[in-house]
Amino acid sequence: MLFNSINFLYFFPVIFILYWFVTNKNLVAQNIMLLAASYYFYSCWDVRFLFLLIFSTALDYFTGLKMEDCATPQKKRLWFWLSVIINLGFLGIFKYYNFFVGSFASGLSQIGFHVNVWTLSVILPVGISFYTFHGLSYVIDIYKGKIKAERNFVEYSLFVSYFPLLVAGPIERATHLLPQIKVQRKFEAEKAIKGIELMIWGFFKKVVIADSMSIIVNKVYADPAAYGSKGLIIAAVAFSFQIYCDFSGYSDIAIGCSKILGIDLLQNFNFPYLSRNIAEFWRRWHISLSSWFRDYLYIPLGGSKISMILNIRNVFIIFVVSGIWHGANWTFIIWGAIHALLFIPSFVMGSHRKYKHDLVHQGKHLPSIKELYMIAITFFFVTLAWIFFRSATVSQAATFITRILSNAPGKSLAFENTDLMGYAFSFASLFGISIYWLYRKTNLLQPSRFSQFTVSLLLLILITLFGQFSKQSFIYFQF
Amino acid sequence: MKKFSLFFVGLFFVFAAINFLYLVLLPKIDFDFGKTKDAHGFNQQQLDILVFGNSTAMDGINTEILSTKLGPAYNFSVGGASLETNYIQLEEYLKHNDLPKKVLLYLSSAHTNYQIANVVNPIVEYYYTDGFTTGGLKDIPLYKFRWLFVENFKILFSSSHRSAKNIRGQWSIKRVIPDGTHIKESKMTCMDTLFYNTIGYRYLWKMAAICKLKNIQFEVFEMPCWREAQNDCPDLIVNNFLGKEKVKIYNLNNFKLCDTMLDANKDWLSKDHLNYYGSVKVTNQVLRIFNR
Repeated sequence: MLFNSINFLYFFPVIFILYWFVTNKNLVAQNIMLLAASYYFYSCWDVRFLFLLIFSTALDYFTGLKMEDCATPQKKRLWFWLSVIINLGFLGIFKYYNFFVGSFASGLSQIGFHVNVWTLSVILPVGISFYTFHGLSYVIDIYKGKIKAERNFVEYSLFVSYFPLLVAGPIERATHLLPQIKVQRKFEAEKAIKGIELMIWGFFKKVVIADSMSIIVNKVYADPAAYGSKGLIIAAVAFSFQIYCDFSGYSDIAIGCSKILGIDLLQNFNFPYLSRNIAEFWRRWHISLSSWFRDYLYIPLGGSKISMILNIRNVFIIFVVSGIWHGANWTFIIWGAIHALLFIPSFVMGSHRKYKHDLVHQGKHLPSIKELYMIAITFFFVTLAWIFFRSATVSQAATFITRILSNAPGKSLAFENTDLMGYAFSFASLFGISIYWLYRKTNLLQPSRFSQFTVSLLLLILITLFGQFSKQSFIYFQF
Repeated sequence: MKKFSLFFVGLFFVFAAINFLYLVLLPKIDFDFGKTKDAHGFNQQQLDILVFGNSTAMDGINTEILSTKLGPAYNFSVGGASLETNYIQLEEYLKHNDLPKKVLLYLSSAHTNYQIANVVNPIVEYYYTDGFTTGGLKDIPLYKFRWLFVENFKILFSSSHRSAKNIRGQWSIKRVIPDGTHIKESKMTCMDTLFYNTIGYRYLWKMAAICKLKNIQFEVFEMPCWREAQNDCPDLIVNNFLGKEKVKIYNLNNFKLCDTMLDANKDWLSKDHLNYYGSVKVTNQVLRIFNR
């Protein structure tokens, strides 16, 4: 089920009523209801893959218990690796098998060996990368003794399958979410109102900005060789906005509807396009994934307590793995590698820890010229890398960039109703950018009731006037 | 829960109130909306000439000239109107008013919604049918009439749009945007009788049938477009495969005619839409056809 579908508009109020008015007195009933709702939410996409989700949940649940009950560290390690291998095995089969086999065969053909490889014709189960990482973090935390294994199967299943975060995150940690699932939730009006505000903001980002941008992006990326450099630049910038508004919009809706249910989720975005360098960008973009890689890959590889050379190697590994996580394609690997190359200089110079806590020009109305310059440069490099991320193949990305650099002539972007598009974009984007900036400055998420009400109302009006309601799925569903 | 409910219900009611206000304001500020409301309210009118079409006819057919030369005329055309829309308007007019002498239908080759079944202009749907047809989310006024928000927003910034007048249903505007396009060979293919018997044109035949039944002269024209969409076709007489009607379609979109009739630098308001100056020329051409 998509958040931006009519079905969700009926689904969520029903869940709200059942949750706060029918099962509110009984935690077990409330959690069972929420789990059933989550499974229904997932099965609306494809009921067959519900069994995979349940199997993955059961696997981690039982290995968690087994690890805790093990008498010897060797047995504990055995159960741990069993879970890791099966989890990553599923991910490997569904997401990466065809890519690696295909790349291997193509590599062999380069040196003169031609082999016929057997490939799978399966669709990627939606959200598999997200719920696999949920489960993995749980199993790793138990193995490292950070948490106790969860003994209640319903509560553990809800941790993995909780519908707001099931298909596109944020990637939760057991230490953060499970304690909230285990206690009776109390309705808090302030939290719920913030939830509504966040949901509306998320819908605005998705249906007004991201889906409008997708019209330009899809058109140009379908055939970049046909477009001139101006059209390509516009499409590249449009994709930067599309992917941000699409994914952060999803996260806002997820966090918002969870707040209405009294459960806090991890923050996933924190004004990434106001970052002053790449390191800051990565502290603000897809935070739940970045911190996952930091905690479960970077630190186990040695963290910052090893030599600079090894450290650089580890940084490179993290970014490339992050690229692969997004999809089985060389374009994602190159995207990750570009970010590694952009990150490493600041890492070597030690400036990567700069801007760790403050947002740009926090508490003031306008940024300085220097800050604007730094934001623009960071945005430029991030946009450049997104070209690889969005392109279907590496050669398509290369064509895209070459045509921009050579100022190639070609088709310009023409729309059937340019006037209308222009007005709609300018109006909605200006409003969106203002709100984005104001949120940064005064943290409008804790403002007066009047401004919350007014902003929500204006966003609702803009969604109705300019929203694209063609049931476009969220980009991160494919990951 | 009380605070939350107040916030939520308040949001719902203010949003609903804004939608209601939008609906109340539209007939006062929007040309299409206001005109459609007026036209829907016609009762015992004695018009001789009724003009139907979409936005190309709304801007491009000068009913003032037609009134002077042929008798009282009114331009019923609305933006984005399909043939079904025009049929609904004609049927309703004939129910409550005196019979006209002529019904002039202007087809636009620049728009393709004639090919799509069941497309009724939402404004006409609102006034002529049950108002809000589905009762669902698509009937929220801000959504249903969303394009009018942008259209009226433009008026705030464009003095020529503000000075446009409603003259007997024609949106008379003197703004000039030159036609910088060129003739395209691909547009030179001419439509035949078979084309005019496809599903999208069934309301053309319904209009023809109702006019024949009531002894009203029914004339059909193809409106001029920008050069890139002009053709090299003659006038065409077509038969209805499913009935006995026959209509002649006068082609005003022939590039040779357009070259002699229109000034590409002065007569256009926007793509495929004539301004006041263009409307005078096209309407005079229509009169010449009638005088042949």
